[in-house]
Amino acid sequence: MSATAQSVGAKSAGDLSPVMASMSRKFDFLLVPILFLAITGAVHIHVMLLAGDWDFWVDWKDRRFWITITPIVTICFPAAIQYVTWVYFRLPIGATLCIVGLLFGEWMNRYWGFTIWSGFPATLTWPAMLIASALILDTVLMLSRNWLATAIVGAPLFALLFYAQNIVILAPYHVPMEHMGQLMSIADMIGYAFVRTATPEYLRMIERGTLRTFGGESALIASFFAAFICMIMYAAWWKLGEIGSRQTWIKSMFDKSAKVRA
Amino acid sequence: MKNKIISLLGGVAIMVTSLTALYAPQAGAHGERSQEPFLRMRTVHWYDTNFSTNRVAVNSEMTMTGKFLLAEAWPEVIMKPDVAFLHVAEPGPAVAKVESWLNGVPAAKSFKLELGKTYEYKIIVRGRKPGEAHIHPMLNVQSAGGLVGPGQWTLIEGNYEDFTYPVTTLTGETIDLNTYGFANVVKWHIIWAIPALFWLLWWIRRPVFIPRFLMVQNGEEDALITGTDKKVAIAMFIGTMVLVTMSSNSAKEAYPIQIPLQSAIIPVEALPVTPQNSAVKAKILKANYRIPGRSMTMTLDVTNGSATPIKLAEFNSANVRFTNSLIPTLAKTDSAELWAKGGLHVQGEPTIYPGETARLEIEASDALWETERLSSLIGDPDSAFGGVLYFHGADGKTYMEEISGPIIPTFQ
Repeated sequence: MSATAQSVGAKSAGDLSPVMASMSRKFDFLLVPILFLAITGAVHIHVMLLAGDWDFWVDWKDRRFWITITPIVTICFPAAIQYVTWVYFRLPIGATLCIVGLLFGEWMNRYWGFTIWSGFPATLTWPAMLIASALILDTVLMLSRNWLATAIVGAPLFALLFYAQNIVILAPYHVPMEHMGQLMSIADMIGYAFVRTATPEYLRMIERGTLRTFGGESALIASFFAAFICMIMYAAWWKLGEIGSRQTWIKSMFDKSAKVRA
Repeated sequence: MKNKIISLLGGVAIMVTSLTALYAPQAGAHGERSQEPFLRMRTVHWYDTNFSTNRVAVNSEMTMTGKFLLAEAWPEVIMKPDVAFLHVAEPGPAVAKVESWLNGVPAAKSFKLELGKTYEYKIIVRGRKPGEAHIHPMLNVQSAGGLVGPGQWTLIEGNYEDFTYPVTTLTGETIDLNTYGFANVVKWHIIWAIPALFWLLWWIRRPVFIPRFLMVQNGEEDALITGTDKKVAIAMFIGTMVLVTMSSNSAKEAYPIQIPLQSAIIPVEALPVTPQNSAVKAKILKANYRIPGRSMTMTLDVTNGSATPIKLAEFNSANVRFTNSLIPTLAKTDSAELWAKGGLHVQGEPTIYPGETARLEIEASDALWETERLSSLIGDPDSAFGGVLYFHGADGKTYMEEISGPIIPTFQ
């Protein structure tokens, strides 16, 4: 009895006995939630440590640093996990799995930590969207079947789509208003009104002007720079995925499984 | 036997650790006493602090006003206030900031300030989250952190659900800052979650790990991706690009007027120099801190450059007021400040006449040295103190002078 829909016949290595097929599926059901939570924890702590404030606060989501840093930091784990899921299992879901896990962790953190515990309004602390970037990275890998093509095409798209997919939720916050005789965006005003004692205004690492010399297209320039760096990051973390998955005990475990099947 | 002892000890350790969860006292304020004395004594001298009320309803306003003098004896180990921000210290946004002003200049952005100068602030906040909150004015200085002013326990009454923060944009729309835009954020996160979950389920609905791994190991990986999978992937790719394009275009149409985040360093002029903050000069000759007595003694020469006789009324350091009980007119005007009433003793002739230089020996003693954790200044590597002396003039005005200098502890 075939255990996979793609089995190529009775001689396929994927053909398992009914007992083994049943156990294999139970193993899937056991491992998938564990892996999801493990990946959620790993990706979440990685992104929060390296891009935390830009993702925490609406008044940090600027046209320069947020757009540059977030994709560069976020593509790391998707690349490494893609190596494992693609090379060992031919599953083109590594990036989507990481980003769904990241967003799951972020929403839990923002709701329980920032809103319920600390009392910040959710409009100040929502996380950025990255799913479009992840879907593109996965589909490019699957359709090209080549990590280098994914690094050259998918990774830049991962970065270029970041700002584009978030405009729809960010635009309302960049509407101008006047307060105390000064021009502010609504995002600035939200950050001003809802006090973060340890985060004075000057701590915000946001656009302060230099990219405006390029025709005012700060977001576009930042996106292309992030796209370029993402190519390198993707290749580096794909390789790290390869190194990290050189686990001899895993091979040993599956070798034993193959022997049992035989 | 050995294992039993280890198990027993482990069990006891787990029980003791678990029991600590039963003791979770409320955090009283937010650690302003934990700041090193040199940060509190030699940076920002807050005075005339006033809170308009100590009870505020949700949506009602409270005003904090006062002045601060930036010490000329600013510690070398921290950056000067070239980038500073007038802020509020509170446990989360219990009150929302409505307005803040420094010498009449709006304080939404950061300032460049000067040492030795005096600034006057006004902060208006609005009750938001019911409960009791310890609220302070605060000056954040880049690389120095938050330098906290006198605090007040403030009772915020009412219902959080009633809180609103209406503002009007330059496009004429009136919005509630507390909730603005969030429903749209949730909507788009859900919209994008649908294709993501579909993509994951598309793959994990089939056996995931062992059969696929075996097939890949056997060189049969091409069989693991079907023609339908490819069609779904192409559809996902195109659909993603289309949705991104459509959503970003719709946002640009809905919000044609947008500005980048605003940030700047704003110059602000200090309060003018007047006889009240410049006519009296003091020079520290000697200062000791007597640890058993929790008292500080100073010998100093005071020159009265004003046109009126003056008497030393108060020594203020790190938001603690040591006042001279022999000057009955001195009232506690500030409910927030820590007050060592009668804690200041002056030896010798208390009146200093115009043009006269008098040598004063003063003692500032109170348990507040200990409870406010100021006595730990003897552990500082530069062993120095700072503060402000306030003199009452016969003309009814108050004259002030910043003092600072080395201090030597006395252990007997």
